[in-house]
Amino acid sequence: MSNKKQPLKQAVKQSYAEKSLLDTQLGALQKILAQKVTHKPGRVEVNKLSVYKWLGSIAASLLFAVSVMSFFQTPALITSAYADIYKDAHLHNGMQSSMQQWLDVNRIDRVPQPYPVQMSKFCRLGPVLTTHLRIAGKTQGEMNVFFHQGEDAPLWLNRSGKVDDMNWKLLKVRENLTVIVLYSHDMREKSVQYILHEMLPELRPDLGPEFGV
Amino acid sequence: MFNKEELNQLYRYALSLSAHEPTAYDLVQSGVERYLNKISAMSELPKNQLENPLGSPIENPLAYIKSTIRNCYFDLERHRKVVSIISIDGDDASNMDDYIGLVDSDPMEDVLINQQEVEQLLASLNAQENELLYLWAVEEHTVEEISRIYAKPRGTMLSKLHRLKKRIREQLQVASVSANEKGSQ
Repeated sequence: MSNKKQPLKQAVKQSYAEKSLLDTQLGALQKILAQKVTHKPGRVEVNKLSVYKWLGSIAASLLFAVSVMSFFQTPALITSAYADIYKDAHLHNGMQSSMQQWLDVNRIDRVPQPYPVQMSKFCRLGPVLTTHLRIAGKTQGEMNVFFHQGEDAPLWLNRSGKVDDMNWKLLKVRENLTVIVLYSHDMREKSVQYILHEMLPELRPDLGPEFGV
Repeated sequence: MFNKEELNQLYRYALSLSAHEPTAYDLVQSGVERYLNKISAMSELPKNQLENPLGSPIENPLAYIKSTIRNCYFDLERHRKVVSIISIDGDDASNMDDYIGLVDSDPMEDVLINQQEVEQLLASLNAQENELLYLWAVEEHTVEEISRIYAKPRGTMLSKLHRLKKRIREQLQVASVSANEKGSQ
């Protein structure tokens, strides 16, 4: 770091000039831009009104089928969380004090001792603001927990499923708190349950068949 | 669509708010995604639609993304509820003339500072002060331009800038006193 004195404006400018995106981050952003540009729909000169009407009637007739099927599909929120996990795979910042403070304020107990917190951050899954923790298994695997505080997701139900190489669970813990859990296949199910029970004691008494110990 | 320098410019702006590199990257990503979603939604609207429900077309994509980054950052801060959000609405714009004199007479060109002091200074300022310093020093915006970015009256921004300059002088004075004390020990 230079010890040379400069006018304030120039010094601030130089300080920021030294801060740049990493090549991997630049690559990821350019990939997002390239994908969106490739998929950008072209303008088709047809009578759009009639197309919309036609699509509307099809949509209405399929509405019921779609609503039933959507229950069995991976929710968009889970796929967003999954993408976020991969985006932050390189991040190893441990448990940040601001994060611990947030957990304390929201009455979420500490991560049990044998499980190290590899990463903690506030993040956004689409429109939903969450607090994301990546917790390592004792010997293998990892678990990602996203806490969402707020009442803006009334349709969240206790559900579970699989997405690529991870299992997921969506849990309504209490009024104002919902949790998304994604964990690798090599993470022990008992460890996942133990961590959740320690952090969220509410989950203990009324565990569904999935969480029953 | 955006070159390396433009993406870095967005990153530095996000960094001026968050002072945290991973958060700054996240903010840039969110901003870019929202911008892409918006232009994608707009391109799907019928050509003959008179009133656009999505608002006017984006004339300056970088400014749009910066404003999105700003909103995302303060959303995150509200979510975190750790840092108090200070509104810039509270400033009294009525005594604008007083501030014009004060700001213009204090261009801060006499302030000399090294890189270590800059880092200390940036760490001591809050998000809004850092953002303002960034817009003024790095992007070299005029007070008029800054007031347009914030959509606030010029007088409000003058008072903000004046307060920031005062705070920087105080901060540098404190740093200099503590450096002298260390030196004499």
